[in-house]
Amino acid sequence: MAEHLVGVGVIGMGGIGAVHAVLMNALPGASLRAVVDSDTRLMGVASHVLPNVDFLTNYNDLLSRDDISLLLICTPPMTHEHILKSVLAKSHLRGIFVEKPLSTDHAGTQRMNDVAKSKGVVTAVGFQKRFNPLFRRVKNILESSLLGDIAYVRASSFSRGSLLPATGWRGDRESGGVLLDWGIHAIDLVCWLLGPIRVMSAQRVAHFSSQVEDYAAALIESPTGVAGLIEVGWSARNYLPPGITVELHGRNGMLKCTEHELSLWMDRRPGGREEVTVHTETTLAQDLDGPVPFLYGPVDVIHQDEALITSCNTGKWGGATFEDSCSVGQVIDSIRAKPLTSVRGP
Amino acid sequence: MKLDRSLLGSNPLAGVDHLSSDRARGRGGAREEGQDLTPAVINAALSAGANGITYTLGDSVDREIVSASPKTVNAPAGLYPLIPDVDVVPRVLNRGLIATALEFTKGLSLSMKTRAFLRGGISYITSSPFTALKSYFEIEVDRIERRKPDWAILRTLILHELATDAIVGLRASNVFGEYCDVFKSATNLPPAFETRNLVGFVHLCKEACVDIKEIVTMTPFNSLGFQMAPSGPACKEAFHSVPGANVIAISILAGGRISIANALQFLGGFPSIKSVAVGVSSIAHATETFGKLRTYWAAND
Repeated sequence: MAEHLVGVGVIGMGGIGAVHAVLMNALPGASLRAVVDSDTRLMGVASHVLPNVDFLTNYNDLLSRDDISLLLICTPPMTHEHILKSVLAKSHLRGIFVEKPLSTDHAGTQRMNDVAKSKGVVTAVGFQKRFNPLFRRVKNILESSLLGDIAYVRASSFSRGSLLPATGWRGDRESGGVLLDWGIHAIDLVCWLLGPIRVMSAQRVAHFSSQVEDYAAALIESPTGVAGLIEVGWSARNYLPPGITVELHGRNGMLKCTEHELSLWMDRRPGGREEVTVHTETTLAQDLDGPVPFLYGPVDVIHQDEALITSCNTGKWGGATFEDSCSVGQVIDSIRAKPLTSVRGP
Repeated sequence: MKLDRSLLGSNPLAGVDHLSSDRARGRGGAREEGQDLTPAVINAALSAGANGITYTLGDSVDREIVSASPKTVNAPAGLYPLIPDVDVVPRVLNRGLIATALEFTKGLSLSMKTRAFLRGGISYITSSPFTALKSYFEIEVDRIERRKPDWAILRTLILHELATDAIVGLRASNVFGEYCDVFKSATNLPPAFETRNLVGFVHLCKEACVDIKEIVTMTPFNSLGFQMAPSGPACKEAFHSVPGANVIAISILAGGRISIANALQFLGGFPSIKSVAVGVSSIAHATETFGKLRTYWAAND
C-alpha cells in the first residue's frame, strides 16, 4: 500500500525553520507545501526563486488548507502559545511540532500542553538531541543498569554563539538567555535520562549581555537521589562548534558522552580481588548511525524529522512531547528565579 | 577544465563530524575553523605536493594564506574558497537570511558599497536577488584577487553545502540554473558546489539542464559511505552515471577511519575523480599525506 505523503507547513523561516523546510521537502514520505514568515522581504525573495512552494506572511492563511497535516512552528518562543491556539483549530492536523523552548516559562508550557491534550493530536518538541544515536545508547546503558547505581551526573552545553551582547528576542529578559536557547538541550537530556530533576541551587551570570544570562549553573537532584551539576553557556571561546556533554558516574563504572563520541570506563575486579582496574571502550556516532536519505544540518535533526513524518502515519512519536517540556520548563524557571550576576566592564 | 590534483583542505564549519574539535578541547587546545591552515602547514603541504588550497573564506584564513611563503611551487597553487564567509553560517542560523544579508552589506567597504548601490541598492537583495548575487560575486572575486599571494591563483568559488543542499532539497532547479549563469557572467570562472547529497545533486543538474561537465562538484567520497547520502553505493552509481564530471573528493579518510593508503586504493577505482582535498593538522601530517598523494597522481595520470 502506498504510504500517504505527509503535507507539511513550516511557520518561521529564521534559521532552524529553514533547515526543517529543506528536510521536510527532501526526506521521503513528506512534501513541503507552504512556509510562513512575517518578514515580507524574505517572502518576496523566496516566492521569486521557489515557485513550487506557497510562501505566506500570515499563518492564519494556513488554517483553511486541508493539504497540510504536519505543522512545524519555528518562530521565536514568545509567539508559540498564540500560534498554537490558532492552529489547533485545524482538526485534521495529525502532528504539531514546536521548536524548543515550547514557551518562555513553565506556566505557558503547561497551558500549551493542556490545550494540545484536549485535541488528541501528536505533539512534539524540538529536543533533537534525544535522536542522537550516542545519547540513545546512553539511555540503553542506564536502563540495563550496566553502571550500577548512579551516584552523580555532570552535563553541559556550551557554544561560542556570540562574544557580544545577545540581541533581539534572545537578549530579552522574558524570552532570551542561554537557558532557553542552547542550554535547554543539556537540561532536557538529564531529565530524559534520569527523570524530572529538581534544582537545589543555581547561579546565572551575564558575561556580555545585560538582561539575560550568558552562563548558568545548577546543582540538581533526580527523583532517585542522583546528584548533579548542569552548566550551560553560549560565550565559551573554546566551543566552536558547540558541544554537549553528559557524564554519568555509577557504582560499577562511568561514561562520558558528547554528540560524537561515547567513552565507557568499567571497573574490573579480577577474581574478586580488592584491586580495581578500569577497562575503557569508545564508540563513535558514525559507528552507530546508518545512512540517511538526505544530509542537511545536524544528523539528530534529520532523525527527528524522519520520526516526525513517520508519526503522522503511525500516530506514535518517540521524541520529546509537550508533557516532557513541562519538566524542563520547571527546571528553567527555578534557575531563572535566581538573580542575574553581571560581570561586565573593560 | 583545470582542477588541481591535491588540495590542502580546512574543514568547513558544517558537514564534518566535529570529533576532532571535541578531542582537541579534551587535550586543552581549541581546534578552530582554519586554525590548521598555519603558514607552516601550508608551506609543508605545498612543498610535499599539494597544488591547491580549499578553505572557508574568512579574515583569519586569508591572513594565514597570505603569510605562507612556500619554497617549492612549480606552478601557481589553486585557491578554492568556499562561500559564503565562515561567520555567515552561524549568523544565518541564528538571525535569518535577510538580517545576515543586511549585515554583509554593512561590512562592505565604501567603494564596494558604491558598486552595490550602482547595481540598484540594498533593495535589490530582496526584489532582484540574482542581481545582488552578481554584485556579491564580483566583490568577493575582487577582494580575493587583491589579497591573494603571488604564488596562488583563484580557480573558483565553491558554494557551501548549506546553500547547495538547500537548493537540492527544495528541488529549486530554476535557482540552480540561474545561479550558474550569474556566476559565470560575473566571474568567468566555472561554478562550483559542495554537496553531501550527490544523487540529488546529479538529478538537479539534469532538471536544470546544467552540464555537470561545465561545473565543479566537491563531495564526500570514500569506501565507507561516510557523509554520502543517501548511501555509498547510490552515490557511486550516480558518479558513474556522469562520466566527465569534475569532482573534488573530500572526506576520503571518512573522519579518520580510513588510512590514506586505503583511501587512495579505493579512489583508484574511480579514475574520473580529478582532485582530492584532505585536511591536515601538522607539518608531519602534511608532508606524509601530500607525499603519498603526489605518488598516487604520478601513478594514475
